[in-house]
Amino acid sequence: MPPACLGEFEQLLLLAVLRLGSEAYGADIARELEARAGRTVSRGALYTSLDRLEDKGLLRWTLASGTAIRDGLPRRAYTVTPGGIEALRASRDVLRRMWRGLEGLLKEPS
Amino acid sequence: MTGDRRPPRFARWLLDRTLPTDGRGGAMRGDLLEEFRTRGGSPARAAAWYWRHALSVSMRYARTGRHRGKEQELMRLESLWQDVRYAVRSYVKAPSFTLAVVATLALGIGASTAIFSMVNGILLQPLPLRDPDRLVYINEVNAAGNRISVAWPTFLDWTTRARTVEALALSREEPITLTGMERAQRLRGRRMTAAFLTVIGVQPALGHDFSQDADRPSAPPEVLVSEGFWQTQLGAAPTVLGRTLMLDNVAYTIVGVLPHGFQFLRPYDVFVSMGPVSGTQQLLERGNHSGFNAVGRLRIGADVADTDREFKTIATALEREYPKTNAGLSARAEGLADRVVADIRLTLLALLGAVGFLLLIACVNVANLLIARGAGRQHELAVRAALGGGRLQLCGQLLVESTLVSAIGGVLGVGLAFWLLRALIAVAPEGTPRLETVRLDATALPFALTAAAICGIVFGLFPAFQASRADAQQALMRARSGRAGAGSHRVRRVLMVVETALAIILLTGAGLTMRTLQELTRLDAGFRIDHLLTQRVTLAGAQWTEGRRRNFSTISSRA
Repeated sequence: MPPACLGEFEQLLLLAVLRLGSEAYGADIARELEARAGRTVSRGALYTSLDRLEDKGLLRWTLASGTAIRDGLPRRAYTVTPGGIEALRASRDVLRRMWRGLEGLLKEPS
Repeated sequence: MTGDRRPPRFARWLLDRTLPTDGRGGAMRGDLLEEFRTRGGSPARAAAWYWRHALSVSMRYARTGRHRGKEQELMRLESLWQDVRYAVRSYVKAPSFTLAVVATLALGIGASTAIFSMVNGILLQPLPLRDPDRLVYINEVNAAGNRISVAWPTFLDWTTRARTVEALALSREEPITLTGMERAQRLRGRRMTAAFLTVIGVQPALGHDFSQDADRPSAPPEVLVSEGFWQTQLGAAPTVLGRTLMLDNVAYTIVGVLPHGFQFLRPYDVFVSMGPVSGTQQLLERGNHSGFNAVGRLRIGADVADTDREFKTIATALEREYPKTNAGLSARAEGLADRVVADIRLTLLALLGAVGFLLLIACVNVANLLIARGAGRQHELAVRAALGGGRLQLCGQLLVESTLVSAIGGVLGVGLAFWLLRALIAVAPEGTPRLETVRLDATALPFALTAAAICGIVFGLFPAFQASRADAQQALMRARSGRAGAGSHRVRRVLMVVETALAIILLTGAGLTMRTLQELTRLDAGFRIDHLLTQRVTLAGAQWTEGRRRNFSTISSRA
């Protein structure tokens, strides 16, 4: 089965989850996106995208216990599935292929 | 300190309603809460942030409906429960509003139920006799048009001439002194003709009715005792039949015990036969009206008016036959039930009218409060409508709120009615008929509860209709600027006018009643009523001859 085709936002989400490791839950993913990608994302878009990735089998989550600041409400700790890793890799390869030969044209102005 | 910051209540409610109830939904709510609390900046900015994201999450999940499916039924119950919890929280947050609504409803329901129970028990419930509608109460009427008691010879003429009644009986209240037991006792007694029980349709529970010829002069005296008297004074012995009781120094044979709870107009201990008095000179004189009233049972097909006409015709005939004693006398027949409650009917109906107004005022007041509260919630409702909360959903939530407050008011009202009814019975004037039949009424209660509930529901839903009808954006803008809709203003103005008008009517009535009471207490009795005592002495029995009675009154007047 060819790896799923990822949109840009989906790639960002999967990468954020990978970067956060075991701490990847909703609030931290949002913060990571904001800090590293400069993307302020509405929580509605965030959660529905995470759900979509779960539906595609690229993400899974387990329920972790909540803390006092959350009034004990649980957390969803996300991990990227092997399928997710593969999809990321495929997306990166597609981009690399597309970039190849254009480095000179698109290089940063000095 | 931001760690214990509370996010906006309604935004939280929104999330509760739209997100899945499992761990997935919990985690989303938890994330938002955590971010809300860890954010810096002013509380207003944090609240705005929370609102924005709560709306975005709610809108997406409300639209995708991810959490719906197989468990829809369960969800519906869950959402009802959430509505109830939200309603409770919103009422707890507005204690003065809640107290006002609950107290108003409780007062309206309590007072109207108590008074309606009185009216129902005394006026509306049929008399506890067989076919009470066919019983008529018949009296003679003097030249001035006043009801007077029936002379014994006149009654005997009635029994032979009247055709519209199946049977006629005569009876009168008599204080009777019981002797021959441990101590003399005054009993509540009623003397009656032999046909009395047949006419009113009652059978003794034990023994038998008076014998056929018990009315005949010097027939053996017979007595029927009440169940209460039989229990307390005669030890409930089945062997009492045939025993004698010394009543006013005459030996009466006990022939029967009346059924449990039986009473005629009021409770009596004993019912005695006519025999010992029917041959006395006092009764035989046609001009003597010795306190008797007649009761008749209408023949099938006849009504009270027929009987009234017939007895007036007989009275005219008797007037011709006995001009010396019967000149100017007529007769009047009226329904027994009407007669029993005639004195108190107007008072009760006036009271009923007054509490009707009270209930109406309570309902209008509650309506006003609910509409005022609804106007204050325009923003909340507009947001919910904007988020796609349909008219049905909004109505559902408001319905739960109104029903809840009506139910609490209703429960308190029932308690109040119970207490009020006991107080009313305790302060009822002596001689108020049928008080023993008054109890918290099973028809009054649903009536008052329904009235209050309808009022609560209709006016509770008013804001929901307004919110869902209006263009959401306009409603939001209007609500934000703090202006309520013109519609609710109009309705509130009308309600205010109605409430004031009703209150004025009620106050005028109460004022007039107070004036009447004041005038009555000021009424000149024609003598000085201070430092006066009254005492009643009965000189019962044949040993109190006319001479002895005179002596007694001479001696007692010196005391």
